[in-house]
Amino acid sequence: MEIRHGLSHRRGLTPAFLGVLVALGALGASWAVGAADQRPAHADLEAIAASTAAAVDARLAADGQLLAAASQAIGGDPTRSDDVLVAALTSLSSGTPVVAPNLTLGVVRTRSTASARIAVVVPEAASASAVGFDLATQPAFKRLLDVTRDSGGAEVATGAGPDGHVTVIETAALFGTSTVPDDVASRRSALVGYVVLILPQADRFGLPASPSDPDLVVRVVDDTTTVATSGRQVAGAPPASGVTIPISVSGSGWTVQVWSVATPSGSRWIVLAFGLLLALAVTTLAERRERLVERAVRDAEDRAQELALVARAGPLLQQSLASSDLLPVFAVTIADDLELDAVSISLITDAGRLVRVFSLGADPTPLDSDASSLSMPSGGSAPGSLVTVPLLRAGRVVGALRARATPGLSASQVETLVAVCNLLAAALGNARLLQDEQELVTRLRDVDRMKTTFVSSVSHELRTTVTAIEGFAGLLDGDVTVLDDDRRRDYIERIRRNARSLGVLIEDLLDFARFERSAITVDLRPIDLSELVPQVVDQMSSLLADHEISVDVAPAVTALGELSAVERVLVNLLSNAAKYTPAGTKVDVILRRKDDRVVLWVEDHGPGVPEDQREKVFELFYRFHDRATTATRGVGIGLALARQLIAQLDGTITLSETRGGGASFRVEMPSAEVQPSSTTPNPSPSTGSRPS
Amino acid sequence: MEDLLPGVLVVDDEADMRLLLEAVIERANEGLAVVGLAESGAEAIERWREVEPDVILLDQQMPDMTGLEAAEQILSEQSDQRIILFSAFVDSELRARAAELGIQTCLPKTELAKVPEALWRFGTG
Repeated sequence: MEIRHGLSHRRGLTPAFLGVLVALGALGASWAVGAADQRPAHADLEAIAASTAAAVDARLAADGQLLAAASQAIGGDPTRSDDVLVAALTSLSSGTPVVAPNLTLGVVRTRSTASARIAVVVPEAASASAVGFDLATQPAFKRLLDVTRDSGGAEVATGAGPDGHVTVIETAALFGTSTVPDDVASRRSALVGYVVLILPQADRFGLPASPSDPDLVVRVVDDTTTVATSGRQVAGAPPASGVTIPISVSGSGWTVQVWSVATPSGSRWIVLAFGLLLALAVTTLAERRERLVERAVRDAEDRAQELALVARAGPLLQQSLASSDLLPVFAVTIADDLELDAVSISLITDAGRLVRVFSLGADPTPLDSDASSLSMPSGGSAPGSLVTVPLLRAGRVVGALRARATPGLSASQVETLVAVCNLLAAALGNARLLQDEQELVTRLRDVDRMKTTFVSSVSHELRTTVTAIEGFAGLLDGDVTVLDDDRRRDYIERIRRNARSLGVLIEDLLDFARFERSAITVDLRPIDLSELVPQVVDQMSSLLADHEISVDVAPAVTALGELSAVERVLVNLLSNAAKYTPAGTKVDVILRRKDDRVVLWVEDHGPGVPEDQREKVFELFYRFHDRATTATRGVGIGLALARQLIAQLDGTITLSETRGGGASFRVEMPSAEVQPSSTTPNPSPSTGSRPS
Repeated sequence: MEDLLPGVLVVDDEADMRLLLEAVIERANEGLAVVGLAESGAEAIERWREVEPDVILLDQQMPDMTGLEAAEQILSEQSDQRIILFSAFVDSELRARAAELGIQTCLPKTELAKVPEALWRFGTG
């Protein structure tokens, strides 16, 4: 019994997928941060290197101009006296802005590059180490001297200086004139000396003392010798990521090297850790949301299923108006849909108690309790507990449904149960109305049938009796000569008997009519039954002519009653015995007193009345149907009348069976005797049983 | 001459009615003769086989079977048997059911005086 509906959970990104996405984002961010932590971009390094190279070039050019100015100052002649040379150089150095501070200018007197001792220097403070330094002793400087002489311009080289440390020395050749000879040979021959520029150890060739990026390494290198550095001081060759560009220094292998020694910071790991935590949080939140959504969808599905059950229960309950059909289908349906283990339905009896009429599954305890103690359930039920829902009709409890589910019931399931129980109560109400209506129709049909039978019976009874009276009278009225005395007496007796039977019938009909109008009144007086009973039997002798009558009457039995009523009852009982038992059978009439009651038995030995019919024979118009009685004259009034009469006398009349199987009518009435007991002579029958 | 006398089988569970019918028929003295009496359906069928009556005067309400039931059994054996249904309560339904079986006429018991005439009219060929 699967419920199909249109609800479905539209799934978004799964929590795991979201987590992976965020984690990937964190990784990317971490990579980006890491990348941002790296040395400057290659292009930036190239730009720094280029600007550095340009600065070094400019510095060398300025130094070249300074050397040229120095040559000019001394007139290209180093042979002048030391004082003259010093004076010329001093004025030069102090008046030339391009000369960097702490430079040392010197003059070498030589005609050969084999020896080139510095003769004089300015400032004189540097003379202690510089004067006398022979440049030719250093291969790099020797080569510098040769190149300078041949080029005629200023050149630069790096080598061990006067103080033994790496020193940059720039030179320009002096040819004894203010102009430079045109060719190399002339220059070699005209060489008289050199002006020398000795750069101090701290000279940076225009490099910034500390670049904006503290992790940046800027280095000017002459082949393998570091000329100047800026920024971080790092030994060794630059990494592959660094930038190396040459500087246009003739005859030298000067290069600018730029790179960054920045190490990755912890940011990327922080970013990564934060990202992963974020991923975890996102995953958790997404999972929680997912669970909430799933729960909402599940609740909605359950609700839809429950609503479907309510919607289905209505038509289901309308399929039949018989409780026996409704209850099993209903119980099975709700048990299936609400996953109930046990369902039981109880209905209220006329006595106001609940009695179980249907159960499905094992209901441990019957709900045979007081209906007034029931109340509508609310909220859910605990696992395995019982939920009892009263079935209300117009505010009155008409029954109860009890259900149990092993996993328990949610509040909405209980609400659904209440809703379908309301439908059930309405259906049961309709079923009850229909049943009442059907019973009423059946009763009315029975009454109608009984009245039809009554009319037929009365007609038959009246016509047969009247025909007999009329017929025999006609025979007597004819030629009387043909009738002997015996026959005439016989006819007259038959007329009398039929007339009496007719009289009884008419009395019955009149009493019945009076009962219909509730017009019968009784006047209670002591009645001497011991005297009355034999008299009535005697009066009925013509009717009982074909039967053997036995009258056993205890003396002085007096009842408190109404004479005509008691007489009528006895006549009716005797008349019945005569009519419904075969001729020749015995009829016993017995009268006894029992304590404060009197008991009269009229017993026959005919076919008797089956046990299930013994109460019905006292119903108005009812006639026990068998072959023997169907054709028998009777209208179904006598016994009903007898019972009503006796009831008015505070007595009872019942029918049982004689030992031979015949009918035994027992009439009990109040005794008129004051003394309650021991006044009845023998024999004394036991109550309810025929005296022996 | 004896063969011309219609023989009548009187069937009624009431002794008074049997006696009365017998007396009425005899009193009529119109060549009618009661050739048999029966007080039940079963006895009627038994007596019918014995006496072979020209006509059966048959009561409807009897202890063991109705007159119609007895008539049906008799007519199934001899379809031209003449039968008069003599009932205290004759209505159109009873007449229709009787006619359906082949019963010539239905006479109410209040019409006791008409029995001899009916026997002559319907009981003889």
